[in-house]
Amino acid sequence: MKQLCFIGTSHLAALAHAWFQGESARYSKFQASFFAGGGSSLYEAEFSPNTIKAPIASKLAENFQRSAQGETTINLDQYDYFIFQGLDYPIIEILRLSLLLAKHEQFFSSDCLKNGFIHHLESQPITPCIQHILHYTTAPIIISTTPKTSYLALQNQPLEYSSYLLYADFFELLFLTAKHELFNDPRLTLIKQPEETLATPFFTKTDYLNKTCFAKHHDYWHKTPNYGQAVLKKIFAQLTD
Amino acid sequence: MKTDNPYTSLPDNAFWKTAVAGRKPREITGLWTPKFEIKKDQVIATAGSCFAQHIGRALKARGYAWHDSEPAPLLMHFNQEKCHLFNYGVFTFRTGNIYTVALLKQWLDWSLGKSVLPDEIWQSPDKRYYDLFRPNIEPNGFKSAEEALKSRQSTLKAMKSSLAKTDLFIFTLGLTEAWVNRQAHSVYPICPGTLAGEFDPTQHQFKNFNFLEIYTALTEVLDTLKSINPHMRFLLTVSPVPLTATASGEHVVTATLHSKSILRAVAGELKASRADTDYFPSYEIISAFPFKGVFYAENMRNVQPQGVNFVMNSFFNCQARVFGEPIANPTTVNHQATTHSGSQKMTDEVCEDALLDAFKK
Repeated sequence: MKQLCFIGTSHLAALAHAWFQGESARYSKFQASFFAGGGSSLYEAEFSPNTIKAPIASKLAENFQRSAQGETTINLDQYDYFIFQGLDYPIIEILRLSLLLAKHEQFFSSDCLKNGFIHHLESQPITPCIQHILHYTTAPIIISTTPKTSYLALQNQPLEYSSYLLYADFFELLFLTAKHELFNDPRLTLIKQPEETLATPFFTKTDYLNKTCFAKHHDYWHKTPNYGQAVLKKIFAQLTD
Repeated sequence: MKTDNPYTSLPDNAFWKTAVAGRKPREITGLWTPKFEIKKDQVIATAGSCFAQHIGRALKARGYAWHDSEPAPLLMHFNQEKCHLFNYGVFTFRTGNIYTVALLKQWLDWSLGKSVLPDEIWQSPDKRYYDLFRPNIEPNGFKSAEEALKSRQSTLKAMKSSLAKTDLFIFTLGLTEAWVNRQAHSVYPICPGTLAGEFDPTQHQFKNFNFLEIYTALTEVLDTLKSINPHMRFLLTVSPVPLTATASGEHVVTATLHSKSILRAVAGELKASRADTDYFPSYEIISAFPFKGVFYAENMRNVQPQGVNFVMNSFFNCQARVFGEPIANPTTVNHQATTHSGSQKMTDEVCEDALLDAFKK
């Protein structure tokens, strides 16, 4: 039985949901633990050579306890694989940048923007965990990106996204370059969003939108267990490859 | 019986004995009696040689409305080191160092469309492209000549639109020596072939600007700026940083003093002749002999951080001595931080819902 350690932000919820709803049976040679640190709580993590620990009485401890059946510490030597969900694409910043570029208000070199993406990736809550695991274990690591914005956003706010569409290809390429530059290690595998979940190269099909999050917060990014199922399929294809 | 003479009513700072003699360098204060008050809500632009960046940084840190005409991309905002590497937030305009008045005039004329913009971009052997008028604006040049030119155009556009709203323009005069293009008559900030480019003696010519040339050019610059915004005022400073090298044939020490003396004289003359222009003595505070060079690093060229702090504290103390403590400007509250923490809170709330849903018992 291979032990999998899933670590991520709230976007890990879709995968965990799918796993607990029955996907675990499909991948019976694997046992999975989920350590989800919502929002910015993963920044609270404390690192020692063999562990990643949530401080006592912290928000992260609360989140870990809830997602990992009471556990607040990740013992690195217990796992064969580490899987990260929650590498954010900075869509809000990119929307504003696209607007500046479309109006010809300001120009930025591609090097500068790529460095901006690298800084963004370095500042992600999961990045210190990835770096720590790379340093202290020999286990393979899979990194899955946060799902793209729901297509519903484009339908509801076409004007807001019109400038973005002009530059989406350009920014996607820079993001990809930055990811490969920062996470340049043979033990790391970056996986893309499953094709079948995409409405266009830049938007996720509306069917996958987490309706609770959307109804309460107008959130276009959190997804359903069906989305989690598609991502798990892609991750396990990689693991069994 | 003795009668009063013009010196009897002068303040202590007019006499060497009371202002300097027997004092330690840090006790020599009050070198500046500012002509006008610098208010926190005034839009301030800074440009000039490398020392000018300290002035901008200090103004920003104290809540003055220091203007950044080309902010870094949002993706980089919280990484000062990277912003500075790409020359964002260093000077008001993303021109890099403007060492000479001729270069300032050139940037200004380009931004106002008063002179033809050269398309001179240098391609390095590793196929990176450098704008010779700001060769280190990006750490590794640009990926294409087109990018380099577009980037320059963006700076000129930002410069033009910012000048109209600038209340105070602070310029730090750095050098008299420069290299010019014989045919295009353009001025380079650094000799081609040093940081970037290839030196061509048939194209590139050394020029050591004299007092009259600098005085005339700076007067033209100030008049032009005044025509853009009649309310604009000017504060001149001279960089205390000596020359790295001189091409004048002189010893670098005498060349430095020649250069700084001219710049200091131009600044003094403009302060004396124009009501809208003042001079702040950062040069004297660092380099005048009563300060015994204590603010210089071991190489006697770089100014140590404590020297920069001393200069900037003098700046604010002198303003406060004459005009009182400045009134805080509510518009310069750190909106970025407020917005960031606000959106973070929102994100946390959304995430909390997603987690509760997935891991509910």
